[in-house]
Amino acid sequence: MATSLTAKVKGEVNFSYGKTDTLAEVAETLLVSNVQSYTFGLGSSKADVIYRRRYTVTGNTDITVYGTLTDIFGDTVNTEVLRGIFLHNRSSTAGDNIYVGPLSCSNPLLFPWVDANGKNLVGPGGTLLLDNPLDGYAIEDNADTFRIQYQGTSGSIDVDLLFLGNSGDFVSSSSTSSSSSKSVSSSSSSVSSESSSSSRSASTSSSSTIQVSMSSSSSRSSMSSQSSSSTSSSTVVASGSSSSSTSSETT
Amino acid sequence: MSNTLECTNSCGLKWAFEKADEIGVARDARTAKQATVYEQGTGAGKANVIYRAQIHLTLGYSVVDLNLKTLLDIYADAMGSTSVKAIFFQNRATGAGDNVRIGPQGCANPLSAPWGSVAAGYNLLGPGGILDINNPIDGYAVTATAKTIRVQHSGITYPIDVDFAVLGVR
Repeated sequence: MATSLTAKVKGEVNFSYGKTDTLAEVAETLLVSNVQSYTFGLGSSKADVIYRRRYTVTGNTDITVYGTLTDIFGDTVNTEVLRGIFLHNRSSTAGDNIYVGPLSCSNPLLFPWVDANGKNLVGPGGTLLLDNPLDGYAIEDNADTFRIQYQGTSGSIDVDLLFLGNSGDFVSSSSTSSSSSKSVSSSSSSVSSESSSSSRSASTSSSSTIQVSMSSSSSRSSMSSQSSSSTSSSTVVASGSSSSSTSSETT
Repeated sequence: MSNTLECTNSCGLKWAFEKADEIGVARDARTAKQATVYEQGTGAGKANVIYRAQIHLTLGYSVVDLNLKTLLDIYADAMGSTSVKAIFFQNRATGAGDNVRIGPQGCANPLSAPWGSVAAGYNLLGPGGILDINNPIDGYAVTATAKTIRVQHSGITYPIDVDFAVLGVR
């Protein structure tokens, strides 16, 4: 079964920040943005696994990224390197928080949070985006799980989860051993004890074709266009809104 | 003298995922994103101060502490944050292993709420990576004893530039 995957991960803060005194108004308009493009394959800025699902979280929901989940096509997700994680807490009720992290679960995936009890708090309507396109976060059989934990007030919280990664079998592609041990990481996580780097250049999958080119664009557009006007008006009327979309596209 | 702020924090993924067998090709092409449009003010979905800068971290676990009370915005006014609504960091390194740590990490007066109130907590952000945390309704409270985020070099090869923006309520 052939597979292809392309993806873009985007984080962005776009703002206009003004200040007015008795003489004039000054405003800075700025876009701080990063768009990371992934092409199909294994290695830096490449991905061949994507998983997405909406969970209703009432207690602990453990996400094991290797060997247990199935993708949209019903195939088991065997993530060996995690490249990006996106979570959206869909509650709109104040105090409806979730924790995300290893949170002392079994076989904790430590790297994004490092400590076994590490976590992020994602509030109602909030999001967490972690993208690590070059090195990724290495997965091993004893480090393949993170936890979403309910910390809310309303009884349950819907959480959208997506992650992007590279598949693998924890065994070097050159290995002919039939050992089922998954303890051999293919990561090149040399040097620093904190290095999460893992890059596999050879496909271990016998099915998948694909060799691809990588493209990465990082834009930090426009450092500041400042404008000045003599108006003293200072009122900004904008409707605070939050939009969430999961839309299908036909391209 | 008054400030105005309009801001949109958005993040997400867009993808096209295909599998084929002998008979045909199935395609899953979607966008999942969350965009929060903040209006000027102090309540849910509102903010009135933003700080953005680039940090230069030298080799050797160098540290920069961001005090969200005293940082000066582009108009040289102290942030004076009482709440943080969104945090965006981008590690601009391109060398493998050039990570940064972002979080309280045991600093004085740590803003630990985004990291689950773990005073030593942090996220490891790899080269080219993004960390975007958005909390539009409740925000994370900033107080005299909870006001600092630490950014630390944790790489192996080069100095690292980190772009960041913090959106808050004054």
